[in-house]
Amino acid sequence: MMDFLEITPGRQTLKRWYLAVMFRFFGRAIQAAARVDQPVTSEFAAMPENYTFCLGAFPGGPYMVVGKDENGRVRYMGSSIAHRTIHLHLTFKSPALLFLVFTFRESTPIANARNRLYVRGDVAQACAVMRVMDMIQVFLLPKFLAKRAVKRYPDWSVKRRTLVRAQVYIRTIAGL
Amino acid sequence: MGIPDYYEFGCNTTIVAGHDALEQISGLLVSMEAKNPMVITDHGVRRAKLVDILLQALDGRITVRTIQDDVPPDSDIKTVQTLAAKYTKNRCNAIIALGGGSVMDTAKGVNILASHGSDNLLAFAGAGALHHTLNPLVAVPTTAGTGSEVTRVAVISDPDNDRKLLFTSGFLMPDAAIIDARMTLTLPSAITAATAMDALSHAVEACLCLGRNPLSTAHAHEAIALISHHLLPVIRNPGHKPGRLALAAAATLAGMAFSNSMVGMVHMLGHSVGSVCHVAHGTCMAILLPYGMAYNFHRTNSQLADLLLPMAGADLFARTSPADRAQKAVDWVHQMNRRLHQATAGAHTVCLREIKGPDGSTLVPGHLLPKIAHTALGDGSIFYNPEDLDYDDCLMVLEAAHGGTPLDRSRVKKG
Amino acid sequence: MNSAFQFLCRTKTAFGSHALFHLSFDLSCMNAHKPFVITDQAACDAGLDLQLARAFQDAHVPLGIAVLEDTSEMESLYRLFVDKGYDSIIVLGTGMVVQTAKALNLALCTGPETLRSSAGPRQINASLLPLAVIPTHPGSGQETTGETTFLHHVFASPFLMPDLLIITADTMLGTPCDVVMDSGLTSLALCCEAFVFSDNPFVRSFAGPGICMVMENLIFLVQNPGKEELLCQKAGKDRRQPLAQLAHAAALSGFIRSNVPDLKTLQAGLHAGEPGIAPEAGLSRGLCMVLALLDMFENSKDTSAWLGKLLLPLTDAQHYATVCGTGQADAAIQTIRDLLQKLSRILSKDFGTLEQAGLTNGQVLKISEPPFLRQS
Repeated sequence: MMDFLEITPGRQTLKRWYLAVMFRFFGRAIQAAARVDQPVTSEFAAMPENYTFCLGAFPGGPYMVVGKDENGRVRYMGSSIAHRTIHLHLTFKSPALLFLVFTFRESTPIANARNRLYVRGDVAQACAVMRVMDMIQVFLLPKFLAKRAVKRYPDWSVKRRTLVRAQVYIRTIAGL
Repeated sequence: MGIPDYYEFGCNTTIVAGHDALEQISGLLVSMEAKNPMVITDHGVRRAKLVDILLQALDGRITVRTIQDDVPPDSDIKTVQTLAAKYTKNRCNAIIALGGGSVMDTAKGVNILASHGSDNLLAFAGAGALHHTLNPLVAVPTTAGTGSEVTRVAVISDPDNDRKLLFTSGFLMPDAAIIDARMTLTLPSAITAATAMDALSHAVEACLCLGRNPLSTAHAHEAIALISHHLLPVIRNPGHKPGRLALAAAATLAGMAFSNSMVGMVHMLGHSVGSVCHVAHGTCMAILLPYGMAYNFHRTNSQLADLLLPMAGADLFARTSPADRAQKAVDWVHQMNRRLHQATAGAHTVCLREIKGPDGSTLVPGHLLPKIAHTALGDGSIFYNPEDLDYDDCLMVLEAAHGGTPLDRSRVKKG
Repeated sequence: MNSAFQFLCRTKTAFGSHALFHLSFDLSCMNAHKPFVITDQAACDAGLDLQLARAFQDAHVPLGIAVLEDTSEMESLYRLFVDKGYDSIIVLGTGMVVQTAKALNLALCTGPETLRSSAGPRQINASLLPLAVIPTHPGSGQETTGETTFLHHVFASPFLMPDLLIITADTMLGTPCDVVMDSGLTSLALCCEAFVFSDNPFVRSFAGPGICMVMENLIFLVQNPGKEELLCQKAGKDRRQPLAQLAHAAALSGFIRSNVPDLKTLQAGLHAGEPGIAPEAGLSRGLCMVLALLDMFENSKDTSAWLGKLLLPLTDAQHYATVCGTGQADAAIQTIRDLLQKLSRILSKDFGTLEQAGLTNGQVLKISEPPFLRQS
C-alpha cells in the first residue's frame, strides 16, 4: 500500500526577518541618496509624480516600497503593498531567490538573466530603478561586496566616494 | 562547454519547415479544433500575394472568417483592440499570423484579448499575467529575421502614454510556426540581407549575453552556420529555395536561442535608433552587431572565439591562433556587412550615417546621437548585456557606428 | 539541408542551482495551486520530499505526497487526486514514477477507462494537467518523451511531454555505476544517431549539447562509483554537476526520441531487452545501442556528411578544426571507440560485440544499415 501525506509548508521566518531588515535599511538608503546624491536625484526627477515601485518576492513578500510623495520627495514607504498604487513591481519568484541576492551570492543582473525575477510595469522606469539600486549598493557595500553585486564597479569622484557616501550613511541610519 | 549555475530553456511551438510546409496548415488547424481562423497580415504581405498562397494551401476543412491586413509597422493597442473586436464579431476560433514581427506581436495581443473576452490589454501587461492556454495561433513568418514565431514576448506600443508595453508568458508562444521557403522568395535583396543580419544578431547576442546556456548556444551556432553558408548565395540568386529555407530556419533557430538567453546592447541601441530615426530594425542590427561584439570583447572573449567556427568554418578557425579568434569573429561580421553592401549594390549600409530615407535624406544625422543614447538607457535589453553601459558608453559606440570606424576598445570602461 | 522537417519540444527545462525555488511561480503561471507529488521510497529515504516541500515555503501551496511502490496503485492515485481536488502533478523520481504520473495525467483528462482500453484514448488535442518532472538520477530519456506505457499499452501524444523539467544536483541520488553507464550510453547513442542522420537543424541543436554532456561526465562518474554525493560537492567548485548533467543529457535524448522516427539504435536497445539476449552476455541496453551505432557509422562513413561534424560535440572545436575534413568521420568513430575502451578498462570488462550479445546476424545487419540507405 502506498504512503500518502499532506504537507502545508510553513514560512522561512529567519530569512524573512533578515530580508525585512535589509529592505528597511536599503529603502531608507534610497531615500537618503535621493536627497544628497545628484545622479540619484536626477533619476527620480525624470519619474512621474507619485511614482511608486516595489521590490519583493512572490507570492506574499516581503516587500520594500519606495516612491515619490505628493511633494515630489522620494520616500521609503514601508513594507506593505496593500492599499497602494504600485507602478512598477520588481518581483523575485521566491523569497529564497531574493535571499540569494541580498546575501550577495548572486548579483541582480545575473538573477535577472537567470529568470529569477520579473518586472511588471514600464521597462524604461525599471531601467532607471535598477540604476538607482546599483548606485545604492555601491554607496552601502564595501568594494569587494559591491563588485559582486553590480556589473561594473564605477569610477566615482573622491567627493562622491567619501563625503556623499558618509551623508547617505548618516541619513540612512537616522531615517532622514 | 560552459554550463551556468542556472538556466532555463523552452519553446513549445510546433515547428513545421519545408519548401511547401504551408500545405500542412489545414491539418494542424484541424488537430487544434480551430477551423475558423482569422488571418492577420499587413499591406506589404498582401501586395506580395502571399495571402493568396496561404488561401490556396488551406483545404475545405478550414473556413477563413476574415482577413485583416491593416497592421501598422509598429503594432499598437488600438489596432489590437480593433482586431480583437473583429475576431469576436466574426466568431473566429484561431489566428493565422502571416507577416513579420509587427504582425506576430499584434496577433499575440489580439489572441490575449480574444481568449479572455476582454478589451483591456493593459490588464495583461508584464510577466506572468496570463494563466491559461490561449486560443490557437499559427505563425507564418514572411521575413527570415525576427524569430517572433517562437518567442514568448510581445511588444505593443501605447502611443497615448508614449510607452511600449511588454507582454511575457509561455502562453504567448504560437502553437505552430510554419517555415515555408515560398514566403521569403520575393523579398528584395536589401531586405533579405537586413533580416538575415537581424537573425545573426539574435544568434550572436544569445551566445554573449548573461542568460547564455548550452542549449541556446547550440541553437545559435546552428543558425550562424546556416546564415554564413547561405546568405550571400541567396542574395546573388534570390530564387534559390533551399537557401531561402535555410535562412528561414536559421531565423527560427536564432529566435529560439535569444528567446531563452535574451539579447543585449546591440538590440538596446538598435531599438533606440529605430524609434528615434525610424530606421528598419534589421538595418540597425547589421550595423551595430560588430560594435556590440567589440564593446563586450573583454567579458566574452572565449564565447566570441567559439563563434568563429560557425561563422568562418573549420579551416580558418584552425589557421587562426586561439588568441586571435575573438577579434577575427568581430572582423568577420564587419566583412559580411561589406560583402552585402557590394552584393546589394550599396543598398545594405555599413554605417549609420549612410542610411538614407526614400527621399535620399540622411535618416540618422549626427546631432541625434545624444537623443538615441538617452533613449537607449530605457531599453530592457541593457539588463542582459555582459558589460554595463552608461550614457557616455552608448554615445561612444553610436559615434563609432555612425562613422563606420572601428570601436576603440581601450576606451571601454572595465570597472 | 532536408527539404522538410518538424520539431516540437513542449517541455521547459530548468537546470541548476535553486531550480526548485522557481517551481511555485511556474506552477502558478499555469494556474496550478495544489500540486500532487508522486515519488518513490528512495527519494523519501533521502529526504527529497521534504526538500521539495521547503521550496514551497512561503508560497502557501499545500502538497499531497504519494510514495509509490509499483504501478498497480493507479486506482488509489486517481481517487486521491480527484477526491482531494489537486490540480497538477509533480514527479520526484525517474523511471517508473514518471510513467505512472503520465498515465495518471492521461486518465485524469480523458477518463480512467482510457488506461484499460487497448485502443488508447481518442486523439489528444489539448493540454493535460500541468506536469513537472524532477529526476533523481540519470534516466533512459523516457521521462521527457511524449509516450507512456501502462499495463503493456503504449500511449503517445506530444501533450504527454512534461510541461516542466527541473534538473538540479540537489535532487540527485547516489546512483549505481551500471545505471549511470547505461543512461550515459543510451543518451549518447540516441543523440549521435539523430545528429548524423536526422538532417534537421532543430534536432541537432538538442543532440549536440546532449553528446557534450555525456562525453564530459560519463568517464568521471564511472571512475568514481558510489561516491556521487561527494563528487557533486567536489564538482560544485567548478560549477559542474556530473550526475545532473547526465540526467540532462538523458532528457535531451527523450526530446529527440519524440521527434526523430525510427531511431535504429533504439531498436537495438529493444533487442537488448528481449529475453535470452544482451543481459546474459553482460551487455547493457546502452552498450548494445552504442555498438549498433558504431556498426551503422562504419557502414555510412563515406556517404554521411554529418558524421564528420559529429567530431565537434564529441571532442571540442580545437580538435574538430585541426582534423582534416576527410579524417573527421574516422576520428568521430574512433572517439566513441576510445570511450568504450576507457569504460572497459575502468570496469575491467570486455564489452564484446552485438553478435556475442545474442543478436542474430540478420538483426545486426538490419540495425547497422544507415537510415537513408533503408529509405532508398
